[in-house]
Amino acid sequence: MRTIIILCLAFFFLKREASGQDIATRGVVVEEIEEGKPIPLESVQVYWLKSKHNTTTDSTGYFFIARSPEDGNQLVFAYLGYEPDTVTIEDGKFISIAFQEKDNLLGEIVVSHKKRSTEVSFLDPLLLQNISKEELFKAACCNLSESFETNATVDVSFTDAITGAKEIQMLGLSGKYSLISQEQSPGVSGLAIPYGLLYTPGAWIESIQISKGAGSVIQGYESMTGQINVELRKPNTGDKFLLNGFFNESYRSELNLFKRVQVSPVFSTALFGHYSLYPKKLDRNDDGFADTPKGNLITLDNRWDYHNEKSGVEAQLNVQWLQDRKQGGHVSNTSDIPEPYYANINADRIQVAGKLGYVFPNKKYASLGSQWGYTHHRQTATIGNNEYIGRQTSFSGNWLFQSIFSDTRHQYFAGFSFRYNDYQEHLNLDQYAFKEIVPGAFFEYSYKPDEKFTFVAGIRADRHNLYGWLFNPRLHLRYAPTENTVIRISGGSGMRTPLPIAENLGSLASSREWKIDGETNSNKPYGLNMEKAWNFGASLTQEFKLDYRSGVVSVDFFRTEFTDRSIVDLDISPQQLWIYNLDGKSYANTFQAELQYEVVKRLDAKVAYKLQDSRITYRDAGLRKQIFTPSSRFFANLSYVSSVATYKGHWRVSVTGHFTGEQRIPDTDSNPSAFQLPDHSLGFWLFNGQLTRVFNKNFEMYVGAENINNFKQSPVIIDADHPYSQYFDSGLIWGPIFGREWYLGFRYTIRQDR
Amino acid sequence: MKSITKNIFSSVLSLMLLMGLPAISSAQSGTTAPGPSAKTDVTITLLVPGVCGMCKDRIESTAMDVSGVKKAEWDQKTDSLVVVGSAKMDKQKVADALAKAGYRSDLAKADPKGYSKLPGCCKYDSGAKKE
Repeated sequence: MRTIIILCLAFFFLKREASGQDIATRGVVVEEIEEGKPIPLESVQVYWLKSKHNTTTDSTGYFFIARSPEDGNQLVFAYLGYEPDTVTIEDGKFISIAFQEKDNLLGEIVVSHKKRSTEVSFLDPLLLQNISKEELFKAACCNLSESFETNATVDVSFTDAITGAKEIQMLGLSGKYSLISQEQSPGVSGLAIPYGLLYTPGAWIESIQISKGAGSVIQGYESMTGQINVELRKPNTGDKFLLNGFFNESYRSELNLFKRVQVSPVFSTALFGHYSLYPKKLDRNDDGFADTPKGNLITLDNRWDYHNEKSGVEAQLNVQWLQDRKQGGHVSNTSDIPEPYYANINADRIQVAGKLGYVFPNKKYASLGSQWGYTHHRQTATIGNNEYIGRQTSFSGNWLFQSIFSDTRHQYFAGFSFRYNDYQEHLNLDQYAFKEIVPGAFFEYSYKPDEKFTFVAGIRADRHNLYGWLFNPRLHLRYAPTENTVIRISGGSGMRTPLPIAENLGSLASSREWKIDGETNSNKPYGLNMEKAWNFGASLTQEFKLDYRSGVVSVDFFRTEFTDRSIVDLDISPQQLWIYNLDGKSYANTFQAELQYEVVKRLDAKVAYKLQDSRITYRDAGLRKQIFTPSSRFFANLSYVSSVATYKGHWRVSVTGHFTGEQRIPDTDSNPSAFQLPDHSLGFWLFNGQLTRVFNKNFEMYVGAENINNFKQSPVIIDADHPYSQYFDSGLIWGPIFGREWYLGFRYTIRQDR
Repeated sequence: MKSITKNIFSSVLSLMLLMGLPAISSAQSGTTAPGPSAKTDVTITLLVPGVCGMCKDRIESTAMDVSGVKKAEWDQKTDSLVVVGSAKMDKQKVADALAKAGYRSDLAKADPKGYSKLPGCCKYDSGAKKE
């Protein structure tokens, strides 16, 4: 209640403050296009006809111009490709100018600016990195988990040597603490966490946005370390058709298809297809077990987009269906294996997401929007003697209103959300089932007086049927002291419901006995508390230009401090896996420095160094380093393009080197000496490379290798000869399981006419 | 923990040194200025007929591919192409590259093959109207 009163008071005072502003003229300039919503026009020249005193619009199309008696009342708007527009101004009135696309004298506006394929946003108050599809093309990049190969912020690792599950880490913590969304709607979450990164094919992706630190309250309460948002290819803009094929020396074969159609001036649709096949179990390290499971994955997606400029209505619908089949374990099927050990892991998923929005035709800065999501996910896993079945049915809704207080310097979002999750899990003889029903409300206010400063404050209040009230404030400050320097500070809290079985599914590929030791007689799922953490961070981004070539240096520091956490403890005994509530401290500090520069013409270099210190108070051992978290990482990427004239044939080369520092391995001291592992892993290098030949604007082929230096963890599985012994464990993975892999692929693209 | 703190400290120090480099360069040269080697850079201007934004993309990227060229900017209104490069940049080579790509200039005639490959909107001699 107190929060609602504070929000109302803030609203009242802001409104009052804004209405009491001086009578200088403010407004917003947009370009109205025939298809798609109005685009804010940046860099529009705005000047008084009489005095020629001038200003320009910012990236949101907003302008603010002081007015003195000698300025007169005629304001001119001039923009490349349009006839200048002159408007008579009334004192204090907010004005909205719209240039019509059909009036554009150029037909199109080409801004000749060489964009880096990974760019750190200069204007966003969040530390936001945008990875374009061109960046994704630098790596084999068959799915989302492989999309971060040329990125230093997100790290990807395998969780075990049997099931092929992958985990990402961000800010020194597991990916489950990041919000992974697709088109700003719920993405990889819930039971999909262990394999969900494999479900988005790289060829479908238009771009990925990675924001570090506390995110916006609009997307929910779950983001703790940051957000990874995946934008798929669009039905109404961009490439019209794509056919992509991929094959590697482990016989992994993939085919991706994308086709978009403009059905009518307001309707467009796109069809996505993906099929991947791992036809064989391969055992390169001769331990008898497949290094990666065989199987196949098929997924289809259909998107619809409706945009009616006249009525201001926009709508989107996305339906995605997926079937994943995996078989791991022993390579041989013959009866000569004394203790056969197999793993069958299957997933079926359907996901529907919809958006409905309305832009007020006369107030381009104001809009109403709603997002809807439905997911049904079924996961089964038979791993050795362990049987797991999980079902998730989820529904989510988000209704938001965006507008301004008096002018676009004061913008706000306000809205309601609803979330429903129904989880049912069976692990061997144990059953777990619970429902989450979470209505919530949020408010986010942005103050942007000029290009230099941005202040964003948000709060959300959610009522959870099992955990009670959840309050999460978030704050972001951005200050640009010069045109090339940005300082950002962020802080806020996030919360999430733990799903300890699904999140640790790979640990079923061991003889560990599971001990979920939560509160007894509690209505909390598994007796575990909701995980809660505060995240604070600061960053400095400096853009520069040397010898006409641009570069950027950035440094950032983030600290995530948990007040509640579900601890997965593999240290108490190598034969047990304990899960319990945190009792003590748990935090993760990360420091990252990154430099990007075009060192010589057409040769881009990216170098990054990361220090991580993640610690957990374990039940018996006290505060210790978190397992499988490297204390340092070093990353370097060089990419060369033989010609900047991309309309003709050319070559592209990309080489990436990663150094992963030593990681703590769970205690195995009580095992017989043959089944013990060292306390820490070795630091190791991994190199990847790719060569692409672009034959013409439609067709390109690429060949590359991953893990060129052929580094492999050894041993991978403890007591691999006796998979049903008490020492068997395939879940202590800190490095690559298979060595060097060559691959080749092609892309056939029909591009949008320009 | 001490070693981590020490590591962070040394990394921050080295980064501050690294950060100093662009700061100094921008202090010397301003936001769009080219940097230390600008003193030896040469600027040439060519008159290259073109029509649209697509021509701009082609003309500039073709010029950029020529050895020694650091920056190329074509003005759609005046047809003038301003190219900045090192001392080894050869004006004739820039004109030859443009000719091969289908664009004539005051130093070279357009290669008919290159011209025929231009998109319809870029065929400046076909009566395509300048935007």
